[in-house]
Amino acid sequence: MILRNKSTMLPRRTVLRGILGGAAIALPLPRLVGMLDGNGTAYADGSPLRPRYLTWFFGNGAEPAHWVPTAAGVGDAWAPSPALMPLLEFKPWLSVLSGYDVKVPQLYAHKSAPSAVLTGAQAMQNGDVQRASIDQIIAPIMNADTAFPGGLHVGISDVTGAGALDFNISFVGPNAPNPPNYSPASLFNTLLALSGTVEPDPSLFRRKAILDAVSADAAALRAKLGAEDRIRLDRHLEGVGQLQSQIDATIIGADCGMPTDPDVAYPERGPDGAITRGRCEAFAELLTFAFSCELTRVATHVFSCAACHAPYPEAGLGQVTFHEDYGHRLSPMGTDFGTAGFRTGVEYTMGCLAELLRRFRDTPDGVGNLLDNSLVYVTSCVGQPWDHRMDDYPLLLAGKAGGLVRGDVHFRSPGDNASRVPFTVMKVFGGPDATFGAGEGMVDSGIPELLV
Amino acid sequence: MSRRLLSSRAPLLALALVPSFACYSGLTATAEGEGPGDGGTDLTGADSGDDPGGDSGDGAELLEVDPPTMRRLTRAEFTHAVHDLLGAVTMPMVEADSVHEGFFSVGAARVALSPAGVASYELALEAATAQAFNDPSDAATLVACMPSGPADTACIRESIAAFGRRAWRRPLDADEVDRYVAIAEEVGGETGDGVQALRHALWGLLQSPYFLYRVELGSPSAPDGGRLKFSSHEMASRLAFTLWSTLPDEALLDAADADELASAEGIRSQVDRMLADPRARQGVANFIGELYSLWKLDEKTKDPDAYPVWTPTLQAAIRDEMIARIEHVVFDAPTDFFSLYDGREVFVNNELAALYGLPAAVPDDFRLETLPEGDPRRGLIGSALLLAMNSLPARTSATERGVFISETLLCKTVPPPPPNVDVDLDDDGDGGPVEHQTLRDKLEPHVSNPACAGCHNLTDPLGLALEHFDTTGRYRETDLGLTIDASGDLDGMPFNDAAELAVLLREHPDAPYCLVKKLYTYSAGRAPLLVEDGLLATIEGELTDGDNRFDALLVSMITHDDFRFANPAGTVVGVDQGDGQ
Repeated sequence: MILRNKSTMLPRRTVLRGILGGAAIALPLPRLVGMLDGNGTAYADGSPLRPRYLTWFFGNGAEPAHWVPTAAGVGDAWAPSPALMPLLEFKPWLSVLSGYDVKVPQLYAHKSAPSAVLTGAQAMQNGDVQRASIDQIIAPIMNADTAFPGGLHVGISDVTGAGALDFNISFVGPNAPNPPNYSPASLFNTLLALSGTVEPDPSLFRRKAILDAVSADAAALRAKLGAEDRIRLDRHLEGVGQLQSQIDATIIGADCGMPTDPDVAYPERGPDGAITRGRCEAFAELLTFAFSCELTRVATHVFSCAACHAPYPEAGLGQVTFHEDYGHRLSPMGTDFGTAGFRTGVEYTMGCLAELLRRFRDTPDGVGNLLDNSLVYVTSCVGQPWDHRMDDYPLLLAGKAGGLVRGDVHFRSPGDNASRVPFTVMKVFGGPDATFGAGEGMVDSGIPELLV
Repeated sequence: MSRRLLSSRAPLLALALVPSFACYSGLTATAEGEGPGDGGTDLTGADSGDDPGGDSGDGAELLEVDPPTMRRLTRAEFTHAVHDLLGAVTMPMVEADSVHEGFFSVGAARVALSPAGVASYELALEAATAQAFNDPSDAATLVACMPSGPADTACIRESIAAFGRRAWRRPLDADEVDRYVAIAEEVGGETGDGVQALRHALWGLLQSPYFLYRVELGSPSAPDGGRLKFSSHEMASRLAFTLWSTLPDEALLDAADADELASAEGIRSQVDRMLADPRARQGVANFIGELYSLWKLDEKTKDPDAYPVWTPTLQAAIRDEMIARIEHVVFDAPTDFFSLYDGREVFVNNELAALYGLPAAVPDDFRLETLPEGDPRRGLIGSALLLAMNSLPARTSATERGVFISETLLCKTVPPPPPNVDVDLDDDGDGGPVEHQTLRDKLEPHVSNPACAGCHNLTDPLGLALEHFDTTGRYRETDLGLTIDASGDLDGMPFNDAAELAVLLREHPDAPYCLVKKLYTYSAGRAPLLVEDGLLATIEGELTDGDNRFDALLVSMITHDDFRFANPAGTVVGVDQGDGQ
């Protein structure tokens, strides 16, 4: 059906909603008007708001001597390490896990380890993964009723890392990545359309008609395909279905205000793909908006990909390759210089993470704030990078997941399996599986010390 | 020299696997990844099986071959195709390609599009069709018939059928035409605008999987032993994307309509015309761009203080030069492709001429020049592009340069570094600024440490031969005052410098084989199987018979049976693993 009358005294959205009429809308956006209780602290039926999940990944690892807090314990018993000092103000929400080792054999530098901490299993030698990443285990549980069922996926640096996992940290399975979006401007446009603050265009119905035709083509094609291609085509159809749902959501309109326009707020943020604080801030604003509005409850944020070769100019580290000069300490200025530069780079990276956590903390959500109701899993592609270590791995959680995670803890468990961290995350979000990972990376128990 | 062809395409279910990986020289297992030590090894015959490390086993290997898969148009193919259909429109980027086996074209046959990727196509094609239809008089040149109004259904139907045939590389059936006519009718009814009605129908046709994927699956052919035979229309698509990196033209589709492309003879009847078409340059450039990973030039930074010469205009010139060199030997003055490997002909503007030590010219045209006899710069490995692409921001990289030569030109395998290796090469004990050493001295631990030597001996000696060229590709007599030793050996053949290495590369017996293998991988969308070694040898022979001309290689590649047939699902092939390990 197509809207024929473009001139109407009724608000356009009202008209368009009427056209949607009694059609089954598969998208019960929680943040529509009337979906929350009178105080906006819970859903209208009284149930608490659902927690949000985000994987925050940075390439090139961390040095245990710089990353791991000196003392372990809860509350005043521990203090952030130098690497984590940019996160000091969020200490009540931090859970630092140290001493954990990646147990899968390091067959492929910068591939085996990130695959293990994201999926619990060994990488494939082409740099792909064998299993779904933790965000894609959580998405079907938490996110199916949102505008982005597979989550939102953003990235800061678009510089390659020697082919390790390509640029990706989110995988539905082998050969099925969710590549990051490097453009805050494009994400803004997408979120703006869903925000309910702009009048929807009647042409939305034209898009729906086209997508229906594309779906019909795909259905006819599917019958001719082998098993591998059917999986790929089905994933394509998921994307078509997501677009159709988003059109419905745009017509209905959310009730979340307007997202921050990165071109207005951060015009000097640098080109898409560059490592700048401004780009971290722009994406932090947009992810906060998307989480707050529950346009998605799952997201990933790649600061830099595994073994990323980008420079960190804003950190005062010049235009040289951070991976090479500092991660591998191959600077002509020597190893001390390399070590110091590496530490500077990691602290700069945590500063970018702080931009996200600050906005989460400062955004009311339910009876608390968005950081209270989120869990951010922070990790990397390697431990101490200059010898490609996989022990005492950088593993950090931020947020309290709606009160399930206690926070303000440094828990040290030397030699333990790093997969227990994503296993714990999976269980916090209600994952039914009894185990996480495969082979040497598989675990069947979490870390109760992190939980309330 | 041992040659064994081992596939890393996963179409294979290894029923018995060969021994697990180690560092092998001279084998032809494929390697993924681009960086030193970050490449992968594949001696298992599968790069995406459940056994990433390989398994132990001996004797014969039985492998089950997957049927052909759809191939998503790569970003380049998508752009070329849209430009063919709609003119030189601009579009937002669509989802990134994935590199498998060193090629986007292989990733395109394997990797699924994400939901965000589907949205990126809708957005890109909305922009493309809006631009193309912004001026109806321009749009009229793109379609068979421009509707006089929304009720001009016959005209709209004609345009949809014609545009769809071109975009989908086959005639649409009646239901398909009806489906998109219905869109036009709805939009026409809403807007009263026949042009917009047609534009929306075309926007839809271009979002269809029949446009976005190369659906070339073949059908079982009893006269051919049950093998899958590609139809004439599938062949039109295969020919066009292989030779032109874009859609078939009307002539090719007409030949397909007449079922003339199902035979080698029918294909040969198209080849001369296709290779003479300007789009053949686009096709060869796309292959070279993927083979040499030219896309990475965009992310190559150089220390601006140390190398102010590294300007955007220089980067554009060195990219243009590589394509010009290729086009020169393939199209403009067709000759032995491997003359590229040790040739002295370069293409420069004044900025690049300065880098190459050549005089400026007036006017500053992009021009063919010949480096003087005795110039240390020679061949592909002397091109600024390959020297700069395989270097670090402030330094050269013997390892990256060596990996390029070993893997890309000679198809050797360079495995990843062993676990927990300490890669500190500059550690002189006190942690302070390092006394300058030549790169050869710095890399000495690669030779003295057995854990490093096995693989770095494949790469470093070749890369060190290029030490007379800095990270931008500019010649230097010394390295900060230290004497450069550029000597080494390639598979037992000694050389004194880069120019001598260039000659050895041209003469290397594996060079033709490697080029054949790379082009096969690119065109097939998968690495060749072990059992296809004989086929590659045949093509290599035809390349030799064709005086090593690249057009001869292309003709051979697209006229052999394997280009017209594929193995059906469940085909099991046996591979003798008895030698070459």
